[in-house]
Amino acid sequence: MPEGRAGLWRLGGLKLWLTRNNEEWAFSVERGAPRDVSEVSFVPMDVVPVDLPWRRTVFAEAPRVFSLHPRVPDRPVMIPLPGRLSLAPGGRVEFTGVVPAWIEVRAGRGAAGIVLGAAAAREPRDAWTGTPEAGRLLYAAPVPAVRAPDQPAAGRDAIAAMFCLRNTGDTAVAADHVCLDLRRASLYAGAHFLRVSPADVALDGNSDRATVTFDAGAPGQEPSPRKLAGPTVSGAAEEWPLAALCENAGDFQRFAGGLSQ
Amino acid sequence: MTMQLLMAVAGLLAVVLLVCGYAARGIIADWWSGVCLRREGFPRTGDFVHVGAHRGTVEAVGRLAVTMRTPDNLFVRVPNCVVARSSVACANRHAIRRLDFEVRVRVGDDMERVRVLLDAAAGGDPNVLVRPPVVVRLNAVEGKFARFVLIVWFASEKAEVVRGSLPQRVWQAFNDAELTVSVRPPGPS
Repeated sequence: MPEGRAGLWRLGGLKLWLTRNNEEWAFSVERGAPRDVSEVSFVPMDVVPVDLPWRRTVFAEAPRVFSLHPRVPDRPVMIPLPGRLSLAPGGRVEFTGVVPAWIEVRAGRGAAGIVLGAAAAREPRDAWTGTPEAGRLLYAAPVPAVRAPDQPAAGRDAIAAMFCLRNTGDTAVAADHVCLDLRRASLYAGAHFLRVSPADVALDGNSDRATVTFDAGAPGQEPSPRKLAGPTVSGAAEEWPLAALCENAGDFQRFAGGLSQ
Repeated sequence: MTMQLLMAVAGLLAVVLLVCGYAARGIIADWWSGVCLRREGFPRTGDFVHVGAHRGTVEAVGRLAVTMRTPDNLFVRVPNCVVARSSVACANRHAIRRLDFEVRVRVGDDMERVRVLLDAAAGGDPNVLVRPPVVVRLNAVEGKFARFVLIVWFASEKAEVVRGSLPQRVWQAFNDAELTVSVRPPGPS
């Protein structure tokens, strides 16, 4: 980091501001309209907006370098399908979903650096799966998944998550979104956006369970993608109630329509 | 003689016990209510509850009373028997909650446009959950006004934020569209 300057990293609509003096690093986040941009610049201090909410980390002697690390979301993500999808027994279909990337900022080099903070490349929205009494709070992917092998309309600030939906039961099952915990997957750098290892979503109407399993290998859509991070949650497979994947709007309308006041 | 003395002492003791018991009946009721509340597990420390005229975060369910901290930082002590006999609502027991905002617009306005504006204003609030989806419903038409209800879900800890942010968003959206609106959030959470 050059002396007397602030670091500004633009990624899509996200602006990460960084300042340093001998004893501290300060980190702040600003959001604007999404743009397909990814660049680092060092700007004079008087360009830095005055009302930014800074998060400061104090050091005995602040490291001179910083590093930026892409990360997967720290909660499972709900990715909508392009529409309500019914799968006959044995049916199989592949999709690619787009999830905003998280960026972790560290003072110092690589894994040895001290984490200054992390921010989502796009302001995350929350979604709930389950009933009003019990369920899970997830992030909501902003756009529906697209059928593979179509390329998703993702920018540099996004993670493409490829998943295969399979019906392993004897009856037809329906889904209108999937829930993926990308912390169980490895993160890779692709040519245009980040990617995670592909997931297999086995829907079993007999047991009313959906099993999501992440592949241990790299995504196959690009030749030799560079691995950036491994799974941070142990266990490649996770079970979800089948209802978590196929709650339709009608169900929610019903429970939104009841009296709560 | 000794027998008479013993009977007199026993009688006196009974009277004293009766008087003490009568005097301490409130304390006994609170103590027993406390036992029942703790056994039931509601309310518990950290719950944001409404009890009668009081609402606040439960700090302790004690032997004789439930102590709470109100949003304006008052320390409130509610006797256990009052809690046990009252209807108690807890605002943060479930992870998500819903608020129904009452929205009034002029009858002459384009109702479909009103729906779209309300949906967009609520959908644009980062504190509102994407799913369950926002619901906009026309509840009544009264004279010159149409009354809509705007139903949103959010993480329970964001209740106060949504209560403040959503009316402002709705007002801004209608103001930009040069429409008149009045938004009323439901009562205190």
